[in-house]
Amino acid sequence: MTSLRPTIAGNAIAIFLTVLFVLPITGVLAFVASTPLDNWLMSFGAWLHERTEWSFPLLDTQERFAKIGFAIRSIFIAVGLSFLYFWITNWLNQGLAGFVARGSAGKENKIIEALQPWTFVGPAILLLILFLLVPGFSTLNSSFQDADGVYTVTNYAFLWDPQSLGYGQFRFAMRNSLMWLILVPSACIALGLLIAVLADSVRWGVVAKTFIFVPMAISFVGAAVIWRNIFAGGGIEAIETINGPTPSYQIGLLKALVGQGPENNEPLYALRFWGNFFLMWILVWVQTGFAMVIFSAALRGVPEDTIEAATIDGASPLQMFFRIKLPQIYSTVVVVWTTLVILVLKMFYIPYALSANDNDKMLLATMMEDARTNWIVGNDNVENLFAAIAIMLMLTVVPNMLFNAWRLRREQRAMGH
Amino acid sequence: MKRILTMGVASFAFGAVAFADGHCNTPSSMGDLGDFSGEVITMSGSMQGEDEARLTAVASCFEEATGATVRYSGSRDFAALIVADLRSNNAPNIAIFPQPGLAGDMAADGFLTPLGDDAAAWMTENYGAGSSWVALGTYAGPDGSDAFYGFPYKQDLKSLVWYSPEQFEDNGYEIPTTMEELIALSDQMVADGNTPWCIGIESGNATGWTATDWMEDIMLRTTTPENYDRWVSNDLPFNSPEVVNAMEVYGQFSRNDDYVAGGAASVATTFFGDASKGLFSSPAACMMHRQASFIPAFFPEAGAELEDGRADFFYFPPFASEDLGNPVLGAGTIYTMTKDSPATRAFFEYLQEARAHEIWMSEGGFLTAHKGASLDAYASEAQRKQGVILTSATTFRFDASDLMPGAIGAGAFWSEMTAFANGQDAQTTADNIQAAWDAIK
Amino acid sequence: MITRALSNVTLFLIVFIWVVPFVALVTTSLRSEVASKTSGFWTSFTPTELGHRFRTHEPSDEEVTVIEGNIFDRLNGDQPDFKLTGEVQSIMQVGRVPDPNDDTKTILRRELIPVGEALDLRGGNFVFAANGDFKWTFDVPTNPRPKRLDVFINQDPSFGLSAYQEVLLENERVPNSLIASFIVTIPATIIPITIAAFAAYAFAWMRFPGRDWLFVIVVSLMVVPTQLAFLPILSGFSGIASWATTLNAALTDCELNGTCKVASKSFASLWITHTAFGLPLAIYLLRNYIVGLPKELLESARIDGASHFQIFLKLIVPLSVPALASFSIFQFLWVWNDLIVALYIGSNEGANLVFPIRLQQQLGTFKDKLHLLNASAVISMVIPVIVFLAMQRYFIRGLLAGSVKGG
Repeated sequence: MTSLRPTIAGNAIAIFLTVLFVLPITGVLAFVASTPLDNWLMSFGAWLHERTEWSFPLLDTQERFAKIGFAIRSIFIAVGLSFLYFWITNWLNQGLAGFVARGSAGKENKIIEALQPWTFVGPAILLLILFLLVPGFSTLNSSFQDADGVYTVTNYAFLWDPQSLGYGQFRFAMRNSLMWLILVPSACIALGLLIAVLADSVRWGVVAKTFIFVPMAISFVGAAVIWRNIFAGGGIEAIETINGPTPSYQIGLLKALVGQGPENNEPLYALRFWGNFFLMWILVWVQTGFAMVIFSAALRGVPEDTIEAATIDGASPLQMFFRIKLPQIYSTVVVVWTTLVILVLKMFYIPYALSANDNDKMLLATMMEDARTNWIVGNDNVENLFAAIAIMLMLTVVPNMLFNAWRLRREQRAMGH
Repeated sequence: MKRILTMGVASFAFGAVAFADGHCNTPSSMGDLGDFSGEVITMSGSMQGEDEARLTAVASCFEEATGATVRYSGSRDFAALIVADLRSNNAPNIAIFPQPGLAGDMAADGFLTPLGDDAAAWMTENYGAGSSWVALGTYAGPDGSDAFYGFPYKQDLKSLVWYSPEQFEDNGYEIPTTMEELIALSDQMVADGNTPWCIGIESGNATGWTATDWMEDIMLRTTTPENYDRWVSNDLPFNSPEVVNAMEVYGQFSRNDDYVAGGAASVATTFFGDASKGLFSSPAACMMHRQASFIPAFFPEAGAELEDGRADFFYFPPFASEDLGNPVLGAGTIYTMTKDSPATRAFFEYLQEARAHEIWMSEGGFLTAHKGASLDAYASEAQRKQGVILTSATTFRFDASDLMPGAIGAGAFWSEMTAFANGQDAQTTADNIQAAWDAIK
Repeated sequence: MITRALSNVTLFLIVFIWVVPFVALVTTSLRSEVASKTSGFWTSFTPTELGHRFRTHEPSDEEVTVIEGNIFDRLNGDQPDFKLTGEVQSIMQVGRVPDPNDDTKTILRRELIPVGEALDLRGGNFVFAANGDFKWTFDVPTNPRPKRLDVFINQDPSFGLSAYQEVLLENERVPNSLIASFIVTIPATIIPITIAAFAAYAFAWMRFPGRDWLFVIVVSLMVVPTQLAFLPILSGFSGIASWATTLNAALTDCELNGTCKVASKSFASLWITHTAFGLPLAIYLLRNYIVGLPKELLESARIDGASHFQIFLKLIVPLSVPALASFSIFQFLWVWNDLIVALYIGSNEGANLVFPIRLQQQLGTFKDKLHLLNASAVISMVIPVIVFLAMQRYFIRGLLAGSVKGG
């Protein structure tokens, strides 16, 4: 085995270099060679334009069709390159090993087997290092630097020092992030469990579950637009005349339900402090379907005999749920909880879409975006402050991350891998 | 940021623009700019929609005259993008800054090329109140010495009160000529069961900027222009009596439940563009709306109201009791050279041509301080009226929040004015802004 | 029995709460601009009394004694998309009258004049009917100035597709965003799944040093907030872009037409970033699935002399279709709906903005045009919802493979 090491290393380098050169060059060549597709589609667009008499200008149509051409070929090239990589590395690995081992099948196999796992996981590991690990540490590094690259803690002081400008936003961002972190997963899990149980007990359960599940397909921005109609306020106010007021209407459903007139047009999600709960609700609406589906499957996996035993003992449905079923799906609840916590920590879209400039609704993630767009005006140090907020965000995930790693490791051991 | 929103948002209905033939032939003739066939000038700015189309119209006449190609890309996130582009060496030829503050920062970082003393001299000569415009485009370079970097082109007028003449007629109201009369008129409207004002300061992550405009306009009417300038540079602290007083006068309008449609509580959550629509609703939600010259784009019929007598405006009047002349608050976009090239220089020469102004004047949505541009070129009577207000002002001051450091003018000032709208008192608001200012010194 | 009824009612209520927002969305997108802003969406299904301002006539030079017209015709002249029909209720007359308490002053008097009664208007007599016909008579020929009046109409429900027409056809932004979203989404779905499938196979069935720890690290990366990585990634891409710009200038004649600049934020940068961000979950899901495939199958294939590459292509891929499908839906939805990565890493050119950014911008620009905003939102979710509903079963199966292990 030891004697094979230099050979393996040599092969590895050969494969790596080949890939490094062959892939980009193939990509560029394929890209250049396929350019005529754009022109072809452009003239096709122009032809269609003439035939169907579209109302856009011709130039627009041509541009759009050229872009579709660009899309098609870039999709094919990008996807083709990723397949090419695996094909070419496999071919090279076998070819080189065969060449080096010169007929000794055992040796050849050993060389192949030593390198193959790395060619399989290589791109994934490389991408993760380049796009998550290295940037993560680089952010950590720059969070401790000032604009001139000198190491300092002023970026964190900017956030934590009550006298500083950043603290005004940061304390709200911290408060809200923690609130979101606790309330949203709890609400999703509670509702998800409730719906899973209810849906299994009625005949139209499948239909109900589909309705609850659909919001998962919608973007958070889309969800914000949707709920705006419900949480909005305003409309047309009444005017007094000598023979009675003119008609008046409220445009927000919830405000109308509680009998509020249009005089106050403040949307519910803009309310001081309480507005946060309306924003959280939107995320609950989106994510409950996820919890529900998984609980629904897990509940069905609860062994029949335990349920039967409980039924014989005369357990009420509530007891059945809390004493028998819930403990058995406990680990699923933990998985869902973890997933939701991660999602909430990355949460950015809903507060950003509905109440951007409002400190009272700030989350750490929205604060980062706010820093990037608003503080950038006239402040050199913005990127480092941005990094410091990102690190604070990261810190709130660390306990979860460690817990997850520990759980995975245990799971792997339990499964004997 | 604020102008990004006000202009970028202006209108949605813009496919590609078909310009009428001969839109380049305006009353003024044009000098020879040279031949730059095949050269490309890239421009970025915050303008989108209709304003983008109009800018394209202006640029197309430059293209016609020189053979160069002008590529404009507009984005709402211009402020963030241009900083990134400049730092990463991806500069366009021309950056159109909505705020002098950011342009100044970029000049100090050495990303802008000076336009030269000739251009500055030309502007002093040919723009109304020329030296104040030159001052607006003059920043300290990387070496600390001042140079003329920014060419102000396209001005906005802010000191306007919009109203519906028909409503005034039905209700028997007269146009006020002093602030005292304006307040009396507002009280009269309240007594009549009408609501005098529509005020909305919500604007996404720029919420609060309308309130800063209101306050700046009142600042110019309650204290001297010199104090205004000292306020901008923070030589006059934000929590000094003059400033707090201006904020309180603004509060007399905006925090008065009887004065504001939807009640004072609605000010912070009403979209600034939506507020103006109250003038035209049925029944009318309010009688008056103080907003800059761009606002007709937000009217329900996108400004058609101005033509058939449903909408008009009057000058936001000064206090008769204070002898401060006719102050005018305004703003504008600043064109800077971020990457030098002969064609780019030619474009800046083109901006000096009266014709470059007249083209946009005829497209609408444009005011200019260029004295050589013919008033006849304005697309509408309303614009001509605004042009006259702009040139007949005794004092012109640029929007203060745009001149303050970004963290204040696009940060604390906005958010604290929003807090003020939500009920925070004036002294606390001013103290908070001053504290923020101290924090960045 | 009672529990059964209670279950039905509770579930129905929950489903109702879940569905109402969709009804609001679609209804609002089908209403007119004015209607969507003045009254709630639920009022649009029944006749509703709303105010409108109409102008009696267009100015002219003629002197007349009678002006006749129809209020609905006058109002519909402006709004061909949403034809206004219904019953006129009243017209509001506004004017100043002497103050009974103080004859030096005047007070404002507003009155709602019901159908059938006459208004005294500019010295003429103005009568109107419920169907909108009005007649304005003068004693002597005059040339009255047009008058605008607030009329209250109990109007019939009216829906139309004009908002969709406006966002889809009269404007290039929404169609461009649709195309851009496709360009971003398809490779950003296929590439990570290819890479992840190979990696998952290696983690499941191949032996190499450090395999388990590597896998734990990869999966732990799932919880890293992507925001952490944005700025360094961005500066990396701009480094590559400026290098590519130089190369482009050296190799091609791009300088002649000024097209040398290679954008640092582009579709390609989005593909690769989405790929990297999607990998941890993809590897986790796929590996959990692949590891559950029958071991004997693989061993017998090995004994037959098949290489790992062959096993992967001929055995694993066909057997893993449910998991692959599940992850592709996951990733498709994620990328299609993503705002934050697109905001930081994606192209910021107007024509290349993906749909969520467009929608986010429209939340600002269409704040006062709710019908357009809602129509745009509907368009943005049609594709993911169809994909989702069509492949729901796979999606759930894959999710369960990843999450319910040991449950």
